[in-house]
Amino acid sequence: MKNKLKKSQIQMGESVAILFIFFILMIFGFVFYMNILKGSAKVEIEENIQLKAIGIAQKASFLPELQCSDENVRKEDCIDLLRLDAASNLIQQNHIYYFDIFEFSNIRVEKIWPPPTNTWQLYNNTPSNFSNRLSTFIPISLLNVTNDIPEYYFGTLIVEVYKR
Amino acid sequence: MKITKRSQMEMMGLAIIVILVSITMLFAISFVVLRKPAEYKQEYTQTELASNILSTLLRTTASECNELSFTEIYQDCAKHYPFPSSELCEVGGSPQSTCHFLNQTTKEILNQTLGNWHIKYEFNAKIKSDPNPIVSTGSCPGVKKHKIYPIPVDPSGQKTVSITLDICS
Repeated sequence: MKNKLKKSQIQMGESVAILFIFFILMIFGFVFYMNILKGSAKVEIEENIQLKAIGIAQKASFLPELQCSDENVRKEDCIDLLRLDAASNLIQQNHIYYFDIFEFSNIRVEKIWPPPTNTWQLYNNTPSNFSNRLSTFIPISLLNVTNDIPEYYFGTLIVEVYKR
Repeated sequence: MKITKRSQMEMMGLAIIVILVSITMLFAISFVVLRKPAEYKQEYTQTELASNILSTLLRTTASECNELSFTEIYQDCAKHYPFPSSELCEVGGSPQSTCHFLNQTTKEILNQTLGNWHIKYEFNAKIKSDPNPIVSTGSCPGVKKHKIYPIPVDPSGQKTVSITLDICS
């Protein structure tokens, strides 16, 4: 009787030990799985911010408010300086409307050549604290139609997208 | 005796299965954990940059050269090359040849853009029949994104100046 009791006690102890090890293994597995999930989520977030930066840069470079046109035919990679002056005021006045398009970003146009260089601020919504910033430089022609002969300057559209 | 051998074989089979499953799991985990984010932006920037810079550069007008575009200035330079080209440009009150003007301004523009953005590049403007380039700056020995713009110099199209810009990867 005593022997039988001891044997069952040992078996109970074994079962408890097995359960304990099983739960430890389960916790290890869960922690490991969560780490994997975190890693892949980080990669996806990084890819998404890159795609978002490209999207915003594309939207900025094809903004109808800025594009040059000749008899209603759009010219590629060209910004009309008269429109640029008007649009920079318009965008600042309608900041909420343009937030849907450009979100947290800073968009400006720089005249590179001929000197002197000049900068036009188009949109600026820089968050107070951000973790990353992706800059895209798009070379673009700047058309000046105020002279007798229209002139094209060498400029750059700079789009900085912020990740909070 | 026979039974022991059979059980040993079964054990071996089980061990092999366990090893195979472990290796597969390790591969799967390493693919998920060590996966680097795809460089969408770099790819997009490199593809677009060379094309945009060349199209913008060739469209730019130079007030120093009677409001001619860079395409026309390259055509004029290539027409006379390697002999001194016509002095259509005027910089700082003194006349300057189109080739000399191109050499200076092209390098200046590329330096102010790609140079300032820390992007390595190689620019070449050369006539097909002539081994010496009209303008050459930078070097790109490795992998690169290549963009070429041919500009016809004469109406027959036999003489062509090729403008190439390589963005190093």
